[in-house]
Amino acid sequence: MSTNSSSSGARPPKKPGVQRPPATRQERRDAARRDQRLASARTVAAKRPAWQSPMVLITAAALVLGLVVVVLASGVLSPKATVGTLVKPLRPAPVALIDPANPRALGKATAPVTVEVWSDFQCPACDTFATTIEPDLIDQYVATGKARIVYRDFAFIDKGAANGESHQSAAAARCAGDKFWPFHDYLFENQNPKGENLGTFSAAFLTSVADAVGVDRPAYDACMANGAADMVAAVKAETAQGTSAGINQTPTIALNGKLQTGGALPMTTLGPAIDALLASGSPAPAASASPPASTAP
Amino acid sequence: MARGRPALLLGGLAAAGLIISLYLGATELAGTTPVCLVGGGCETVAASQYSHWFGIPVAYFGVAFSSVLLALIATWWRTGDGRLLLAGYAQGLVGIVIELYLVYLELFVIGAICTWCVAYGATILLGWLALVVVQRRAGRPGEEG
Repeated sequence: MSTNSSSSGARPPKKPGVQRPPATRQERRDAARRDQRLASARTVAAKRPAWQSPMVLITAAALVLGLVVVVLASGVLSPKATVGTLVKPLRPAPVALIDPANPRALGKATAPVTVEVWSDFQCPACDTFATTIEPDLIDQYVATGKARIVYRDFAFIDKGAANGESHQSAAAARCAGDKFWPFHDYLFENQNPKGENLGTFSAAFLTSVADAVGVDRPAYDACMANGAADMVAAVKAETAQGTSAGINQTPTIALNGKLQTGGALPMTTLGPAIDALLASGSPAPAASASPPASTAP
Repeated sequence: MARGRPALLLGGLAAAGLIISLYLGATELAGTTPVCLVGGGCETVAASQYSHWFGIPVAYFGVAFSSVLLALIATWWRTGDGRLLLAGYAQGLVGIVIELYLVYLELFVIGAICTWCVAYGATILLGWLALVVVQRRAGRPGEEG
């Protein structure tokens, strides 16, 4: 069977895979236009630098986007925004009541009743106790010399993480030294009502509290260096003591060493219980469940 | 190029990432901590302040990320549209950058390794590498369709 190419002696022999040349003038014109367009496109592509190729641009854009997300997530651009909005405690503990020998205690060491408050700075019920009940307790019993309050760490909300917010806030409060109670009051006043372990008690936030209460910054910074390892160890040790003593919730109040049930006891319960101890003349235990608070090194 | 096998590989990796992030998100929602299969850093990482971005658990971002990736791959498998692979390539690259940051946090800031988080990162990295290979093959003239 003959073909067009075999019947035309003037045309070159057809190579395998080569397209048939345009037969008509119109086809030749179209082919010429097509070739011109392809040549033009190749020229443009050849002139375009390698970095302008779509893949390179997409890669660069993706890397930049990833870096932007990382920068935003790391909070590099907005640490001041959360630090500059500290709320001052409405009813801070009177500084005059702080025991110089144990900055985590309020009131005289000779007071007949010792009220130990086992607490976690992230715990909402502890916040309620510290901001609404404790001020009344201080006014009615500590300021009058009838009772003494001792703060105890029971840091559990961050699930035991040394760098978690319960441990770091407790360590920072200890690192505040004689400013423990102001630090304590600021932490509870600025607790995040939205929840726990949300990054509220970040290192930057704790430093801002330290500045707000006027701690000795070099001593505080030295104490908080390396994840405040010494203070975290003390917090863990005290929490372990609380666990051994049978504490399983915060806050837990102990009156003269005896654990009370009911969590954040209201003054209507706490007041009569303290009065009963005062009336019975039951002495405060010489040694409570926890060792004295550590101070900044 | 036949899309069945590559889609199965890519989809499998994205689905694995989705399952891991769903597990991490569920533990967050339940108020518990993930159980580490190896080591014990999961609790530490989950309790750290870096487990939340803008107040939202990082695991939730992982769920959204893997869901979108899985949807892209599924749509590509059905349509063969090469632009979807390109979108997956870009998304995977964003994910790798973020994962590198998270690994840095675990190693040098938190000081604990969460194997679930590392496994999730591995699905992102392997998925992206597989996607690059698939994309190069699919990009050959006459092979896509």
